[in-house]
Amino acid sequence: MLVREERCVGCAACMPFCPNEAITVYGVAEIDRERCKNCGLCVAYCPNDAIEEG
Amino acid sequence: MRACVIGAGLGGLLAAANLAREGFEVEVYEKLPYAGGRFTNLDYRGYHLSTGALHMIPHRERGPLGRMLRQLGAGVEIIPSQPQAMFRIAGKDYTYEELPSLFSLRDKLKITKIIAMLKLGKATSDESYRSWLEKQIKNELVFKIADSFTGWSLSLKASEVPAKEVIAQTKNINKLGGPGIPVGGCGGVTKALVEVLQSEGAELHLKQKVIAIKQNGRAFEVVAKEKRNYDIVVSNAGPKVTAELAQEILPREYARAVSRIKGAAGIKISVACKKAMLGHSGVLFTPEAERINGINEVTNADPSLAPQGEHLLMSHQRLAEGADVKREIELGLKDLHRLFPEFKKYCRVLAVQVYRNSWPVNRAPSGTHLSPATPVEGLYLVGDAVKPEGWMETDGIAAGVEEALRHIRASY
Repeated sequence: MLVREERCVGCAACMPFCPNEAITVYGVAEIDRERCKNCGLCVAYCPNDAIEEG
Repeated sequence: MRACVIGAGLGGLLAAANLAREGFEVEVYEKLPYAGGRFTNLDYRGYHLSTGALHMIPHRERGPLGRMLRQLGAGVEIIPSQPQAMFRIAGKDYTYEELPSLFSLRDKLKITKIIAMLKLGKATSDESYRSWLEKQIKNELVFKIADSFTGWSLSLKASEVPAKEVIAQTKNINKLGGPGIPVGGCGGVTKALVEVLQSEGAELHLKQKVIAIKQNGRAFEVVAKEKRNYDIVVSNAGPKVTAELAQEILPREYARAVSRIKGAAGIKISVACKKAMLGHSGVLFTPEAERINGINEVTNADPSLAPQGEHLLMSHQRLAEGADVKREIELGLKDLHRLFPEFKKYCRVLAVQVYRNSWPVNRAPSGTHLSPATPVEGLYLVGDAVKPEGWMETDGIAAGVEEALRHIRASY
């Protein structure tokens, strides 16, 4: 999963939904590529369309 | 009569529940997989964080939101904050009534006069709260206290909000009382409203993004997964997005005017605590902090918002336009360590959440007073951009919904 930084506001709405605890948010979301299993849950839960597959 | 509600945030849910009870066939479209928008819970490691609001309702059970929830039969208990608010100054906490004691005799008299003027609710010109205060007194601490209040409740500086708005808000606080904590947090309210929708037969479509609002003869055609016709459309998507969705039918000047509205931004830090750091359920205003405007500890009212025996502390700070967000967060964290010398020992930061741009604290700054009626008859706005004068936060949203319903009842 890829964060589009220009759209991410840093609201952390995605963070609790990640089953692999791959997301940290500090002003903007960051996804740990090693933990991420590309399940795509964060894409659905982002209110700002800021995460895309990739 | 068929009503379409776009967005299942607090404003959308309140509008939908009311319309369903008044006999409309209601469908709600929500693009996200959950209802509640910036007013629901985010469950994280046993703590009930929130998507936005700080699990508080500004005028407890007595304001427009409490009243509307009761009228709708939504079973939500709201626990009044006790004390309503404290102010931390030079390391000590004072009540609002105790504040004048901090000043010299001369300033004390001026402050007593200011408090009386705020209470009497005299409307003034369009000057800001800050310049209104400056006419009465020259004292930095007074300005800091004012900034902490407007920063906490509106995510604005005292210089960014009209004096008459603050005066009207203070009048409502004096009349109705200060904050309360809904049991179950924001999510408790959202859940109760979704239950009202279900019992009234309204349909809630999650994960369904509306892509256009068009007109089809006398009816509106709303385009989502399918196209459907409605008699009225109530949008909780914010004025800007609504103007984009309805660009075929709204006048261009209206779209241009709402595109110029700049929302209010802020940062919330949620903290897990091994013991109560505030020990009460009110707001702690922090006028002397570098960035943080106020803090609450809602688990003193509803312990279920944290794992047993632990506490959830939340701070809020206004975020200035164009500020370096990471630096602002750092300054907020520094404030927390300074405010609570035992922070390291008992506390750990659970989440830092920023609200700005397309997901702000408020889509229009307090004092904007955008009407729920748009230039197109049958198309209405609700949500945090549509707050009538004197009503803040979620009570402002409920008061805006009341106003939208008055418009709808007059025409349908």
